[in-house]
Amino acid sequence: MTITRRNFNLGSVAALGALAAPAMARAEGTTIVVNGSGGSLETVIRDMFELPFTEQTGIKVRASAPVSLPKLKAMVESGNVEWDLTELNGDDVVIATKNGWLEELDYSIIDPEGLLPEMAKEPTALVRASYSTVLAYRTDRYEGEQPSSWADFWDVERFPGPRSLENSPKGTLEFALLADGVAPEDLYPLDVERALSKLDEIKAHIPVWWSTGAQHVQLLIDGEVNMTSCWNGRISPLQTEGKPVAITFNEGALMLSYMGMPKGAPHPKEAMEFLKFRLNPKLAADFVKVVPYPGFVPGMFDYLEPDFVETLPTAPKNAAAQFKFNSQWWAENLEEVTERWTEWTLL
Amino acid sequence: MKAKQNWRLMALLLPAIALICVLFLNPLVGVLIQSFVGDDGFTLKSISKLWTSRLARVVLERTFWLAFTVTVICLLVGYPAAYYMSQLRPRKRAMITYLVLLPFWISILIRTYTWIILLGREGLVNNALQWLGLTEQPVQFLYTNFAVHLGMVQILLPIVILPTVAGMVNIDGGLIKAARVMGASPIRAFWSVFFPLSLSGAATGGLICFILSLGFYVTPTLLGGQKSLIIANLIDLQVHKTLNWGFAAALATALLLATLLCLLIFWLATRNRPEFATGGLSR
Amino acid sequence: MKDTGATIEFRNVRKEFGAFTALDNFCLEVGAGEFMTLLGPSGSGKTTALNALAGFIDVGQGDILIDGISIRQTPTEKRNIGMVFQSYSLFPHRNVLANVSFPLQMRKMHKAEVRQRSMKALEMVQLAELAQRMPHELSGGQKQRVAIARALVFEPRVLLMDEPLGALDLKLRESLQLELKALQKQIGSTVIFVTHDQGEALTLSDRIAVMDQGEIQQICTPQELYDQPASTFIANFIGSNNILRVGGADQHSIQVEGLGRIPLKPGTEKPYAVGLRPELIRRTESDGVPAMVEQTIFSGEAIRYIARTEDGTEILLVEPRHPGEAPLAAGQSIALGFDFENLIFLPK
Ligand SMILES: Nc1ncnc2c1ncn2[C@@H]1O[C@H](COP(=O)(O)OP(=O)(O)OP(=O)(O)O)[C@@H](O)[C@H]1O
Ligand SMILES: [Mg+2]
Repeated sequence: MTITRRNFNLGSVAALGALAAPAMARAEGTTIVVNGSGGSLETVIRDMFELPFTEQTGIKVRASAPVSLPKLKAMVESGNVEWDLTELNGDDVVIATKNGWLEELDYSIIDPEGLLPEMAKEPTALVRASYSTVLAYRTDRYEGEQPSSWADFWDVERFPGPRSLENSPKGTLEFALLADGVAPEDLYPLDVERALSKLDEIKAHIPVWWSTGAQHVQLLIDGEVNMTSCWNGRISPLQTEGKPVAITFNEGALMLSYMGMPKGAPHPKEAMEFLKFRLNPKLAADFVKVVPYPGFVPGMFDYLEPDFVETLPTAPKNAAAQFKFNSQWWAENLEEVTERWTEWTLL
Repeated sequence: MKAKQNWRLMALLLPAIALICVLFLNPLVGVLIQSFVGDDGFTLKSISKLWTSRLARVVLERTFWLAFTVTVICLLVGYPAAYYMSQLRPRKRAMITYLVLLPFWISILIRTYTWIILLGREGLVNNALQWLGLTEQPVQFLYTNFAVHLGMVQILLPIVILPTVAGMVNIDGGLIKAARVMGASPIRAFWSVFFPLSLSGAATGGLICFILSLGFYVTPTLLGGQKSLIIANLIDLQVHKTLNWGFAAALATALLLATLLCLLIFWLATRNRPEFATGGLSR
Repeated sequence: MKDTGATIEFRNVRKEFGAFTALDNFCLEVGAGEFMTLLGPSGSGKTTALNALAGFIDVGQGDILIDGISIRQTPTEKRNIGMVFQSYSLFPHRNVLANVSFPLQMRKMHKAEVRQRSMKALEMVQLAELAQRMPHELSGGQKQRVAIARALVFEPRVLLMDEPLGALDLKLRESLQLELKALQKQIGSTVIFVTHDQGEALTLSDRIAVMDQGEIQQICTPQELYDQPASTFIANFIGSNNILRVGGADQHSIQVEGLGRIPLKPGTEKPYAVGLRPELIRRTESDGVPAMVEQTIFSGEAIRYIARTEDGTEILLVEPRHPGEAPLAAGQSIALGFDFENLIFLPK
């Protein structure tokens, strides 16, 4: 289920363009560089946001990839900034902001009517999408009851077989603590050692720790593991293909992904115009149908089927079942915890 | 006259030297400097961490141990193959050499992924084992040290075989005849003459294999579990996850020094043996 | 002298490499303790014969016997043969002593004895002080002597040497020839020696077998070979010779170029050519063959003249040098004298 230029409704864009045009001095010939995670997503973003944006404003958009904090650091520190915007995850934003690698955003341009919820607006970054890391499993591996919590994930008696977790402490430690009986609201600050000793229990059942989204999907499909932590958006396409996989939002980690502007970005004004463009509810709704990682775009749900909204991480029911991933805590403790994590996994 | 000739010959090396300076020495110096630079200028923090961090020590040890075992397996597997090739007529040997080199036409990445397909729980090997009734549950081949060894040996084997063959081909057949006529059975002639003379070629292959193994990245990443990750993975982690570039550089420096140390030991051990002077490549 | 070496016999040995016949019905008997030399041009099958005896190649037909016992089924290492290779074939990874020890070690001899005998062999070739050197630290002659010591160390009853002195300069070669002969006498081995150098063959051998194209042309003592070569080929090959064509003949005489008419013993067949050794020609005052000196060649102990007879034939003669006497100059006329019994009648 991918969107191509052909089935995209250009008519609506033209109408939107008419509304937005007066606010914008046409900056013909300018090209802004938007850094993202690349892959097939890049094509979707180009067709649904970038090309219409160019049509409307004359500002060209060039996509680059991948998302990389080290690269951002290198660009800003060398003064040779290529990107006008880049995707960032929550704790990247905290680190980058602390180090002064990000420009302050001007919300009077991005959200002139003040419709965005506060949660979506960081001074240096705008929530672009939300996604969940949830428990995914093979539906054909267990008869009767299926795993539905991290306690189940840890229960190798009831649910035997190899499993996988992300090769990163982020989220993984939270899952271990939840499995150990910690209440979601008591997670932070994380008790790292407790989480690791809980992880010790299943270390032997984890032949491989995944590090990319493509990898955990492959592990499930190839039957290398029976369950894994997983990004929510990766599973619905598999289900559509008829693969025996499912997820539960229960005890999932709700994470936010942001868009930020590197310090010294060459085209700040145009970049913020682009951010504004991406907040159009109709376009955002069309986009989410393809890529189920919704941002907090006001009015977007109005354009979506209720059944579909059910599958989104931000749907009220799903949001309630999850815990909110605390980027702030992670940014503050990342270095130390990552070091501990590396030792724990490698030794 | 002689000196002038030497200079002319040296000029032939210039393009290679230029390339090495730009592509190797330049980043190398960068890495060296990086290991002594912290947030506020010069620091020994990264370097001293090499001693204090158990992780660095264990992973370094693991790296060398892996390189060692891979090299030993490559030699054990490669030597008989090389012997076979050395006994062929040149034309046929050339043909077999092409076959040995054939895997080089396929990228390491693809070859490594092929192992994933073969060794997976639902892969060819496990399916065959289960079909034959040799095992009920799939065997965990993938993400183990076994898989890493398999993948690395497969990649490095030609690198061991070729210098070994070259060394063996250079052994004067007359020496074997001489040993035979002096009373050595074919087996004794092999062990007392052929084998010692073939060692220099095999050692060259083994050394190259060992040093290449130290820097492996893709294979342990894709085929190994956490316990198979080696120094390159740790460096990668420091660069991309912890952003501790100083420590990454220090690790790289440590790897480089350890490699140089290995070369030095090899040189010291073979320096007085004339047959090692040429690395077994020619006489 | 030790107990003598073994007898060796090649019986109708035939060896083919593809379509090419390297040994053709090759027969050779070598007596116990005899020094037999194989002499012949390159490619005549000398090495092939040695290889067959050593067991490096299988012979197609025929048999090879040592002490009367067939060795065709005996593997190389059991044939107990000492061998010196033309290319030395010293083991580059073993020092001199270890090279010489090798045959003894293969015979599982006691360590102390190995050492003692190896040193003795090295002393024989006067290399004891170089025992610890590696082969690449030796000169060519030293290498050759190590190879000889290594071949002799276990006192083999059969010793094969394939051009063992081939790579040496004249001086070294001559001194080693004498050493070699002495050593062989001392040990008493039966020797088959291969050489290109006819002088060396004449000096060393008890008997010489001249080979050509895989066959033995003549086999006899050095002296016989020199005095009575069996063919023009051999007469030419051994020593210097004047080979003179034979022209017309009748029952009692033949016409020899340069020499004129020569009487023919009754019942003798007309030869193809006549050989006359240059040292057996003398200058006479009168009644010789008139000739003119064309070239004078000084060669140390002797003087060689190239003279031309009236019928245009070149004749070589050699005279011992008399100190204080000036040699003949080119253009001088001389008369050549010889005895009929010194003429060698040669078949084709
Ligand atoms: N392995 C072989 N294959 C084919 N032909 C061979 C082989 N070995 C020898 N010959 C041929 O057999 C003939 C005799 O060779 P051999 O080596 O016995 O000659 P030789 O008398 O030792 O000559 P030289 O004095 O040059 O050493 C040569 O014409 C050679 O080309
Ligand atoms: Mg020869």
